[in-house]
Amino acid sequence: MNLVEVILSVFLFPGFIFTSNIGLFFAWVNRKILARLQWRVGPPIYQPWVDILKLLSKQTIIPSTAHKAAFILAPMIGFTATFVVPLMLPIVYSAPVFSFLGDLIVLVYLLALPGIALMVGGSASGNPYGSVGSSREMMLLLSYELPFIIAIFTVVAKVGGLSITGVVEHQIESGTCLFFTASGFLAFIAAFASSLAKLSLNPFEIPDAKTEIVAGPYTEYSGGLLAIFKLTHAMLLCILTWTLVTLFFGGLVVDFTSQVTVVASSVLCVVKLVGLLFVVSIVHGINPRARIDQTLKFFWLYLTAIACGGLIMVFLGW
Amino acid sequence: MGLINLARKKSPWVFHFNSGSCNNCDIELIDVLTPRYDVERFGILLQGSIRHADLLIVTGPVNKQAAPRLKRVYEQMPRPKLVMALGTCAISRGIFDGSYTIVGPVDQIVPVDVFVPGCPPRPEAIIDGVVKALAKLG
Amino acid sequence: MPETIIPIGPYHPALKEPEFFQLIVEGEKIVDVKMRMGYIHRGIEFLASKKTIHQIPVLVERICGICSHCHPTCFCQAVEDAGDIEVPDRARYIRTIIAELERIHSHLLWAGVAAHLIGYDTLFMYFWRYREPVCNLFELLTGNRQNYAMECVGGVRRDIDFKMSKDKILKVLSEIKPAILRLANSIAEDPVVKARMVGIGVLSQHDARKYCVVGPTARGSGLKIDVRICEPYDAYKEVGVDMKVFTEGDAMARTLVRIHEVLESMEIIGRAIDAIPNGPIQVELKEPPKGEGVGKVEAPRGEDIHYVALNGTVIPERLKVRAPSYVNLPSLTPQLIGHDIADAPIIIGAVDPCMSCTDRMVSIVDRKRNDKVILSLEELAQFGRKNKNPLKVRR
Repeated sequence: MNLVEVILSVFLFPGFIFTSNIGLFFAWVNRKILARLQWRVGPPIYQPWVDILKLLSKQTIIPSTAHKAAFILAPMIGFTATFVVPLMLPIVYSAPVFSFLGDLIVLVYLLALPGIALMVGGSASGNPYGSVGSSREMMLLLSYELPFIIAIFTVVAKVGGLSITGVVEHQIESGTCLFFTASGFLAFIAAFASSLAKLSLNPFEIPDAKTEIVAGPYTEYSGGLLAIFKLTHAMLLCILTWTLVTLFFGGLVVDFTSQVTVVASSVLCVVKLVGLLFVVSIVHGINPRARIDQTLKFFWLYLTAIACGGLIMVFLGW
Repeated sequence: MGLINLARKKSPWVFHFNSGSCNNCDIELIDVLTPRYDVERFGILLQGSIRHADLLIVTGPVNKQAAPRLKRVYEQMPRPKLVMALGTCAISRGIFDGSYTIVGPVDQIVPVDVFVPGCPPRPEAIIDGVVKALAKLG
Repeated sequence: MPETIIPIGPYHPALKEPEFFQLIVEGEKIVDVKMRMGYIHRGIEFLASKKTIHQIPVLVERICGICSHCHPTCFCQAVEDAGDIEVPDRARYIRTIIAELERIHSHLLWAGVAAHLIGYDTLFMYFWRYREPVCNLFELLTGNRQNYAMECVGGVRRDIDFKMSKDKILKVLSEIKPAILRLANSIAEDPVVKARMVGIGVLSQHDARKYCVVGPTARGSGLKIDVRICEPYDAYKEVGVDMKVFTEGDAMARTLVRIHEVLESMEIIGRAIDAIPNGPIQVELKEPPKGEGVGKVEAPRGEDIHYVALNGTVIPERLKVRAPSYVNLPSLTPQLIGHDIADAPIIIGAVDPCMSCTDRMVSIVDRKRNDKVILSLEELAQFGRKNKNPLKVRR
């Protein structure tokens, strides 16, 4: 690929412009579903875009108790991750823009970066609510990464390779998505719950629990830096559903054999992605918030057992 | 500039400060978020941290404990900022006029942009007040 | 681990009112609590010594927005007790009906706030949505959604035409009853809610008696106390009240007590509307009363006591308000210690603190004699047992 193509894919499709707009649209869908579950009408479709614009136009205050460099750089860490990940996930074609052996492992590392950004930002704020939020995010990160990694291992063992392209092509060739196999189903449950925790959605909305620790790690952020955090969160909503669809539902791949299959598979791609988002939002709406120690027990005991069960199923051939 | 103003009008985030009120105004304010009135349709969200807010809503006659804290909270808000005084007590001390512990109505402590009278004001009046406050941004 | 201080408040999104709880924590476990009140002190008792007994119901109504009917009722009862004024029957029934409607409204509000505190916003929206028909009823009967201004010394200020409004009232109550039962089931059965509320903030019966708690906090810990049953006032003796007591003492027990009270209030309103007699709604005061009087009312949060000292003029000598949250808040100390920071909001919320009711001064200052007279609990209790010679109690 030449330089122009690389720049276009990094910034345009499937890079920044595409992912951020889809992410903000998903953020609207999330809020609308939540509102409908709560018997309300909910915001109009342009709301997330207007929120980000407004935040960019506000004054950015850096508190005097904060560590300036860490405070300003923290949102950038998470933002960079969401810049790079879309280039590694396949869309339309089964080969993503950048594909190499072991990119599945790199994906797992990159998806952990937004959580780390929140931790750094919270503790750099110089605010007791920020420190409590940061320590909660740290505990949450340690707890949900374990089942997530075991779920990824299950996928790797099932497919027999370490590349994302391999996962997608295995699902296309064998005709069934990994979700419909016993091991894939258990791995999906573990990955789904970990994704809920990564996105800070109920029942694991712990780091920014408004009624307990004001705004958690976000407390001292304002203006442009807060806009970057919110944009990262929206893009993460898009990226995590995209990852789950790629690993367990056959990916967002269009079948080019004939005109009918092009249309049918495109519609199926949209249905898969938006359907998963619906499930995420509904689970968010019907659950209260769990406590951090209950969450730790849930992830380390039950979900790890489920993920290990999935791994065992692979060796049994299911 | 027009786009920025439109964005500010369509997404006002609100922070609520209780400076000694009897709670009636606070209940009507929280009531505005509930399904019957549902102000999230207009983009209004109740925020937990003052640094995320555009509009500071103050209820209650300001008593001696609250006055310095109200001033500090106002200074922590990022610009552009608006202040609403909600309820009769916040506008003119109301029935608590003459008490030894009331420092003064809200506009003695921080500059106020819109006053919403009532004891307590109806939720429709609160929404009207927010709309009038936002008109000042344009 | 070193000790840190996590402040809850004074201006915190979890609490609608300012109050300061300093939680001294080690890691995430609370080891000690320091409370500091007084952020809503407005000098109400001082203002009351400057207004007439006909203006004071308007003033005390604004002590608290949620219990805005019980404070004027309590004050009027205290004045009627001081002057031996007999309130007509119809007025007593009207006071009962408004008080029970307010109890429904207050408990639904609390249930929504408690759900919001554990992060369950969906339930918060539903509870407040079902509270709206009750507010509509208030507007229909009294003219305002919140501050009703129904009481005056000697009866009620406005009559309610029950022939016209009886169907509306019963229709609204019968519509929200199945919905509340459904929501109550979703609280009692949901596993995450149970994990957040069962076994949290336990107050043993021994501690409850030691801290002298009142209201649903006491009834959730096994104490059978309710002013409507132990010392009936208004029309409660004729109408009858059923009390439900739970012994677990945790946040879930108090929630269930309040849900039962809502259902019981609906029954009481039905019975009261059927039994209300015709007649006058207010007696005229020929001359201002003289003496000391105590009024006791079961507010949604517990027992509310008003003491008034009158000297024969329309301006009282002294008004003292003892709100239920004043005795319920110190009982938070044994409840909070040993739990996590994340449990603190729901523990504080389960006690249903109404800070605006609480912030009163403790001592009585006699401006004429310029010395302090403190009425102790024994003296107040002695007075409550109808000691007819009030001046003997004063030092």
